[in-house]
Amino acid sequence: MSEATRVLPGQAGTQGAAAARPARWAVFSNEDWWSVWIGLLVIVVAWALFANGSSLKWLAVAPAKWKTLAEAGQGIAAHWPNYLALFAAFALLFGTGLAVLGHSLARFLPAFLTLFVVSLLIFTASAWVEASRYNLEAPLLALALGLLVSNTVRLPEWFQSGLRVEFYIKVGIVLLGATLPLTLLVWAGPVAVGQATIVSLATFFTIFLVGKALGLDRRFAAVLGVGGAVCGVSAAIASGGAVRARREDTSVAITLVVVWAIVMIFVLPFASRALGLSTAVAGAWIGTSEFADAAGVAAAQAYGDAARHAGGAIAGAPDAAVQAFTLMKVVGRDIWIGIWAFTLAWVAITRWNTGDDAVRAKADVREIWTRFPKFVFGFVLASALVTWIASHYSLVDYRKIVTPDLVAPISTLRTWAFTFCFLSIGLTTRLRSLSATGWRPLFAFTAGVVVNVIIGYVLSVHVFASYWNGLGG
Amino acid sequence: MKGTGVAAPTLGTVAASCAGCRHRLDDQRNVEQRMPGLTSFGSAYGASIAASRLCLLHDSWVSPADGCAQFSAKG
Repeated sequence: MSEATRVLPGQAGTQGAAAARPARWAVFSNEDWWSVWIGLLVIVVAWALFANGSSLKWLAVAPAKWKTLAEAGQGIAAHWPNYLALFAAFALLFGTGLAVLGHSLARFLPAFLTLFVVSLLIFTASAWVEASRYNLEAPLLALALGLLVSNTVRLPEWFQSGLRVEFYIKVGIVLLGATLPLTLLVWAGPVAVGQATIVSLATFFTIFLVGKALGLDRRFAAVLGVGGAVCGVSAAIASGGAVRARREDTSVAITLVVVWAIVMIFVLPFASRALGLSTAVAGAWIGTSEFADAAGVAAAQAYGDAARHAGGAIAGAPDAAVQAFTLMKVVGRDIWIGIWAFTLAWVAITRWNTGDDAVRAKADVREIWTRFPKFVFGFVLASALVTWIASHYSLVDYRKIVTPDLVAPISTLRTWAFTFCFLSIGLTTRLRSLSATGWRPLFAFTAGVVVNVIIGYVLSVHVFASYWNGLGG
Repeated sequence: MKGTGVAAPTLGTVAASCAGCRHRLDDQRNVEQRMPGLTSFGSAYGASIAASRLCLLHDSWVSPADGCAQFSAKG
C-alpha cells in the first residue's frame, strides 16, 4: 500500500463536515456572493425609502463642484455627518462580508477608514471645476496616487486588509446594474457575447501558439492565454488551478496581466479620444481589450468623466462608457471562465498528461459552476429590479422622480465603491514585488495584446458600432 | 460526465487526497501573500479560485480531490 492509499483514522468525519459546509454556506462563501447581497441590499433599501416618499440621498453624499479650496473645505465640513454615516454604512457592509470570509475586523476597519478618507480627498479633488483641464478624473487620480505611494513608501501590513480591489469592483458592478435597463442588457448582451467570443478565441490561440512556438510548457502557455483572453488575474488563477500549473507560471501570468492592464488604463481612453470614439464604442473597445474588470472600469469611467466635461467634444452619454464596458467584459467575457477552466483541465489531464506528473488529478464538470462569477447574478437582478420599478412610471416622471430620488443615489454609492477600488489597485501594485517574466512569456503575451487590441477595435468601431451607440452614444 | 482522468486513490470512504494533506495551503490569505500581484486585480476569496490551493511540496495548484505519493495527513 502506498502512502497515498493509507487509511486515515478519524479523518472521515472531518472531511464529511468540510464537504457539507460549502453546500450549506455556499451563498456566503466568497466575495462574489457577498457582493451580490451587499449590492442588492443597498438597492432594496433605496427602493424602500423611495416607496415611502424618502430617498437614500442623505447617505449617498458626494463633493459638490468647487472653485476655491475654502469652498471645498466648507463642502466637507457642512456634510460631515453624512460622510460619517456613509463610512459607517460601507464599513458595516464590507466588514460583515470580510469577517465571515475570515478576515480580521481589527485590521480591516482602520485600513478602510484610511482608504475612505483618501478616497474622499480624491473625490473632492476631481470635483474642482478645472480638474478636467488637467485630466484629474477620479479613477486616474486614485490610481496614480496609489501607484506613487505604494512604489515609494512601505505600507504597513495592517493597511493591506482594507485593499480589497475585487470586492469593491464587484459591489460597484452590482450597483451599476441598477442604472442599466434590462431591455438594453437583453438587446446588447448577444452582441457582447459574439464579439467577446471572437476576440477571446483569437487572443487565447495567439498567446498559446506563440508561447508553444517559443518553447513554453503547454500548461504555462494556456494560463497565459486565458489570462489575456478572459478576465485577467482571475482567469490566470482559475486556469492555473484547472491545469495544475506551477505557482511560478501563474505568478508570471499575473505579472503580465497587471502590467498590461495598468498600461491600458491610460492608453485606451487616450487612444479613444484621439480616434474620436463615442463613449459607448470606447466602452466596448475597452471591454474587449482590457485585461481585468477593475482596470477596465477605471479606463471606461475615466473616458466617461472626460466626456462629461468635454462640452460635447466626445459623443455619447458619459455613463454609456462604463455600461458598454460592463456588458462587453462581464457578460461577454467573464461568465465563460468556468467553461475555459473545465475545458483546459480536461485537455491538460487527458492530452497533456505525460504520465510522470507528480500530482494525480481529474477534471470535474462542476468547476463550470464553482468558478462562475456569481456577482453577474447581482448585476442582472439589480437591472431587472430597477427596470420593473421604472415600468410603473412615465418617461417624464422617471426622469423627474425616479432618477434623482432612486437611481442617482445608487450611482453615487457605485462611484464610491469604484473609487475605493481604483485607489486599492494603485496601493496594491508594487512593481518591484512582481515576478520577473523572461522574454518568451512577455513576447507571447504581447502578441496576444496586439491581436486583441486590433480585433477589438475593428469589431467595436466598424462591425458592431451601431449596437454599442444604441446604449446612448 | 462528472470527472475525467486519474482520480486520487481511495480506500473505504476516506480519500487520501490533497484535501486532507498538510502540504496543501488551505489559507487564502497565505495564498495572496505567496502570489505577488494577485490582490492588484484579483482575489483568493473570489469564486474563480474555487477550491484550488497551492501545494507547498510541488509548488503548484491542486484541487481537493487530487492526490500524490507524498501525501501526508494534516496533524
